[in-house]
Amino acid sequence: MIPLQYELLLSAMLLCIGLYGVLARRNGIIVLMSIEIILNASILNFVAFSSYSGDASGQVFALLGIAVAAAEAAVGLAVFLSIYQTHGTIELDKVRFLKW
Amino acid sequence: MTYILSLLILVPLLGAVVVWVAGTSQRLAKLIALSFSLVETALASFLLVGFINPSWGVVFGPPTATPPPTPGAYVPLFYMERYTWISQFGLNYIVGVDGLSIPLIWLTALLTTLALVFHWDEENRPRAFFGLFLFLEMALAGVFMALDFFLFAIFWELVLLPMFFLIGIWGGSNRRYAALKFLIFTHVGFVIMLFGIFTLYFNSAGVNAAVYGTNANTLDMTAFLHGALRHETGGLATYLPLALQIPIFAVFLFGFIVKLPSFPFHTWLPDAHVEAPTGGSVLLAGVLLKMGGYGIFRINMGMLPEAMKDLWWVLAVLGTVSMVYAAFVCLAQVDLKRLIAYSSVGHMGFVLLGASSLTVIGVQGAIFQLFNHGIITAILFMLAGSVKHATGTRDIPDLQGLAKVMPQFSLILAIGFFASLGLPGLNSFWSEFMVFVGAYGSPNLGEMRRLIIIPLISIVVTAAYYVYTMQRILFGDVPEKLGHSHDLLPWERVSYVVLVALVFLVGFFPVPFLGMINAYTSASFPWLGGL
Amino acid sequence: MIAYEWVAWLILLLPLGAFLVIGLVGRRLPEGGGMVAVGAMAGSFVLSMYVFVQVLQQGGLGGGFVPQTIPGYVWIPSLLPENSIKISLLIDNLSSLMLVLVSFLCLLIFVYSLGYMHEDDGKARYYAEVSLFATGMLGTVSADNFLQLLIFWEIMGLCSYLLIGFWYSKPEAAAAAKKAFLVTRVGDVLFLVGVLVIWNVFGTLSFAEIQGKMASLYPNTLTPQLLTLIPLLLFGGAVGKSAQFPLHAWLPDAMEGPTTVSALIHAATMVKAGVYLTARAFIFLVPISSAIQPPFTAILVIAAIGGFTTLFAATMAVVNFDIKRVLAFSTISQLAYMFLGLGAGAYTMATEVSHGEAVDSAGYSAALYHLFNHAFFKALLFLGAGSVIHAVHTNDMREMGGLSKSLPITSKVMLFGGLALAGIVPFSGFFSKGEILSVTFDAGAANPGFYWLWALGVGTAFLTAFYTFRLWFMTFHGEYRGHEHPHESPRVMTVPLIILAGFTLASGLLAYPMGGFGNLIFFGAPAAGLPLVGIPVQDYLLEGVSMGVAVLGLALAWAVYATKRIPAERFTASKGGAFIHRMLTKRYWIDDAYDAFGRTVVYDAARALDWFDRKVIDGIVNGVGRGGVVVASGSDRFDRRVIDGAVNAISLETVRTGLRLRQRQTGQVQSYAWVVVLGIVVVIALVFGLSFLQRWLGGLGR
Repeated sequence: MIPLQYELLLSAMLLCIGLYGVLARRNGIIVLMSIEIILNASILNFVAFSSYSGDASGQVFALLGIAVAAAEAAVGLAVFLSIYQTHGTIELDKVRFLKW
Repeated sequence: MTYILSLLILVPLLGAVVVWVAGTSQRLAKLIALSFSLVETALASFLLVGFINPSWGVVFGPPTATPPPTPGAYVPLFYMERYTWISQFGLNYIVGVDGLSIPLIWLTALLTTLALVFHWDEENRPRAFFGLFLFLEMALAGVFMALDFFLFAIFWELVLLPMFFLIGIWGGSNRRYAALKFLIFTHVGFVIMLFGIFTLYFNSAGVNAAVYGTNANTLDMTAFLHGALRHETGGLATYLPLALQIPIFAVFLFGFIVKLPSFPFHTWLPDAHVEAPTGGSVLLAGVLLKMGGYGIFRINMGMLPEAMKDLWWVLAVLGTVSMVYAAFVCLAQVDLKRLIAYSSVGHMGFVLLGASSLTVIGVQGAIFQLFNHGIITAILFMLAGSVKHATGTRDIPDLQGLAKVMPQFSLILAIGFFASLGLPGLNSFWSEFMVFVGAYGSPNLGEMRRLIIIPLISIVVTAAYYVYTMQRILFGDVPEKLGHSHDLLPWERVSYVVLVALVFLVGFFPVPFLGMINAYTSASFPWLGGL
Repeated sequence: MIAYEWVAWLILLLPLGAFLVIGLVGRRLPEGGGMVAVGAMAGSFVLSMYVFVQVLQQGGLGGGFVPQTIPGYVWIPSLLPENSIKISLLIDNLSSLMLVLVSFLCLLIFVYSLGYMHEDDGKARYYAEVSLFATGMLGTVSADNFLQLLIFWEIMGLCSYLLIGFWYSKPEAAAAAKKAFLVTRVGDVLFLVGVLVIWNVFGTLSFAEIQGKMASLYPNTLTPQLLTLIPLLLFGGAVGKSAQFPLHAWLPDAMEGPTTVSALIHAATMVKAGVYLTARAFIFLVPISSAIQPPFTAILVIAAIGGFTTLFAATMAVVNFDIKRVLAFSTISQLAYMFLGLGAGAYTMATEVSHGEAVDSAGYSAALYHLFNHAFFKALLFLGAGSVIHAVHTNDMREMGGLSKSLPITSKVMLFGGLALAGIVPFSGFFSKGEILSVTFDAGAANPGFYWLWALGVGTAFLTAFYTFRLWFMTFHGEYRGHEHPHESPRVMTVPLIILAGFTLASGLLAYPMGGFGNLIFFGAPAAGLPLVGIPVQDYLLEGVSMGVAVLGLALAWAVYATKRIPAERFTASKGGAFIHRMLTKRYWIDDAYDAFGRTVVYDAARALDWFDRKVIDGIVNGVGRGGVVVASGSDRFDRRVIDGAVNAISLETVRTGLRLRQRQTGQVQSYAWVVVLGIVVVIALVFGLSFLQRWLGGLGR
């Protein structure tokens, strides 16, 4: 068996990569992709713990997570499409509509 | 059950509403108002006649006194109506009349009608004006017949409202100040009285149990009246203790003294009178002041006799001071209406003096004085109104020689002035004489009897200022500007004739009213001494 | 008992009815209603004569008539019927005689007025007022209790006021009316106090009942002090009404009214009411029971005031030039004689009672005899004066003179009146005045002070004759000094004058058929034998003295004014004489003193109290009001700045905080994400930190 720590490390690395992407990238699509990476990291986490403890509920949660990731990606892309169509840009610096 | 008393309250109320609603023109307003007030006067006259001679079949049945359930001495109250209202608080609709209130109710109805007639040519907002008079009439009638403290308080305060507006809107040049002063001053008096009402309420359970058999707090005046009477005639062992009666007596007395008014709380009166319209003054002096006197007899003497026996000297002193002080102040007055206002203060001093004598004849004289003074002062204030209307001024230095230009006016003025100073043959003599007899014969006085000479000074000074005023304004030559003054207007004459006739009638035949008052005094105050 | 006793009520009701009728429709009646007044008065007179004749027939002379009360209706009811106060009529010798006297004089004077007031515009008012007055006087003398007396007494006072001020456009008349009313009011108050005391002591006000109760109530309820006080209080009222010192000032001024008013009210009737009241007060002064100590002090006061006033007023009559005012002072002086007679008689009678002797009613009868006579001759003199004034249009005697030629009837009747007033035999005044002086002298035996009073009386008799004939000579003798064209008055005026002149002669002689006036009018027991009483010789001497003195006075007047042998200026030439003259003209400055008193003490006191009321008492009220306003605005400021300020501050801070927080909303998604991450980090740190803390602390615990 692969030791648990390696899997956890992998998911942590993925989380960091995703977090970096969310916080530091300007392009909206990149941000969405980074969010997906974060979600993937958490899914991986669930699967790792599930296989390590033999409890199947982790894998159920993983499936749930995949579904959520897919739904959220769809909605996010729809929102960014709408923003691009109305404002012509998806640079997050320029998308400041909720400013006070 | 008879309903004449409630009718006496409802008729003017209805009249006020109808006038307000339907009195779209001056003519219509005054006609409606007059008809309602005439109905009220007719009802009150029924009541009066039924009292003077019960066999003269009154439409509403002869007056019968209603005794309370538990036997014992009872205060005869007639035409009583009793409807339960909010019995959890001991608060009911109870009205009834007796020899004290009937003359006053009749006076109210009569004076309202005459005041309305006197203002026949009122142009300024007639529907409000006449409506307010009818509303005032209702409130006044209510005060005199209410036998529940809550009802009494409501009507008492309701009286202030229309009077405030009458002075404040239709009054003279300083009307706002006068109206406000009147309202606040008398209102303060009332608020202090409320303490008394509350104290009585919270101590009423025992009395209520003894009289009506229900051991609960109540605002029923009749419980206290019966209780006090039984206590005084020995039928009831414990009533309100003296230590409790005295503060209650004091607060009620304060409220009534402000209303009466008595020195030193009288200063609202001159301003209120001078600024009020004539009809307002007539009702103010003729009836509102009597509320104070009525209260003293009904509550202070009727419900708190022990305190009265202790504190009679307060009334005696206040009465005497009022009489003498007001007489002197009258002498110095320049405005005729202000002079008449102060004379009211003096005459109400008689009431206090008579009440303080604690003799049958003195108390009778005081009650009779309430009635007589109401009639006389109505005449006097109408005279002030007439002279202002005819000559444009009420200042005594500016008036002279009126006997030549306005002979009818002068005749009524002479009659009014002589009636007010107590000339025998006119009504006020009887009440003033009886007050003096009572005061002199008071069992409380002993050696101090000779102090009677002090209030008697007021008689000479009163004669002085009236005769002096007559000399100045009626006699002498007529100055230029008064040469074209008109004499009395026809509707003024009607009012005067009625009142003057009453002055003479009561002066020569005081018995109808005195009999009523005598019956009331001997039944309600058997503990009075003297003859 | 009088048959048809209800008739007595008509005596009062007829003039009252006349008053009402004339008052309402007088102007439309002929003579302004004068005929109605005369007719009513005639009716009253006839009925009074009827009652009087009945009294005589039932033994009036010699005391056989039992006084009868005719009850009326109740005025003030009371639980016990005997305590209620009623109106009723008393018919006894005195009241029936007074009714006749008053109604007769009123009738004559009303007839005279038909002529005198003929041209006056206000005559309807005049007739109404005099009719009411007649009711008042008739009611006064027929009252059976003190309250009823007081009531009608005051009604008379009202009429006097109205009639003195009849010509109201004259300021002097208005002022005189006011003065009369106020001065008599002071007396009335004393009377009222007397009534109060009587009621308090006796429980009744009726003369008969009081007399009955006196013995039983003395000396506990009716203490000697009260027994002195009551008649003095009643006398106080009499002093006012009868214009005795010190309440005399109103009568001379009252002459501003028409002369018929002066004759009727201020000579013949109203002013006599005081004497009548004092006569009724004899029930207190001369208590019938010998167990009661009579109030000698009160009696002395009455006599002393009478004695003093008689001379006092006579002195002022001597210097006056107004024909009516001389007569006014004369009236005061003659009334004082009556009081002197009553006082002296009471003293003698009281002494007799206390010694248990029979009561000799001489003084009482003499005084009332003088009242009776004086009414006629004084009315005559005033009406005569009226006739003169009517002719020469002035009151001033200096502008008269020689009028006996142009006014023959008037001058002759006035001579009769003058002789009666001076007290020359056989005119009536001689008998009654002489009697009073005799009685006074006799009272000296009981109390020597009366000798002094007798001397005053004699001196007055001298002055009376003097000023009376001074008046007559100045008016009728010599040459006419004025500029008018005097002529005699019409018959409607002269006929009453002649009738009265007849009475000035006859009323004195009327005593003889009566067996003496005292046979009819007496107190206690009839004093038969009047006009002569007492020890005959002494009596004749005394009568001689009074007559002699009168003749002397007449002679002096003759000398000064008729023949001018002694010039009048001689009296005022010396400094003392001039001073006396000024003092008398100024009426001893008493009027000025009263005016000053009224103006300063009373009026200034009034103004002071008014100032006090306005500034002090009302000032307190207004101060309380202003204080209330200050408190109110203070509260308002507190409310607005502090409380509302706090409320506002809260809302302001909230808004500002919101403003500041708003700035966090950058709109940049990534900054929000940073905040999320930060939050997560903080949470993880907290969790781990706390668990480390726990383990570390737990390790410490070991």
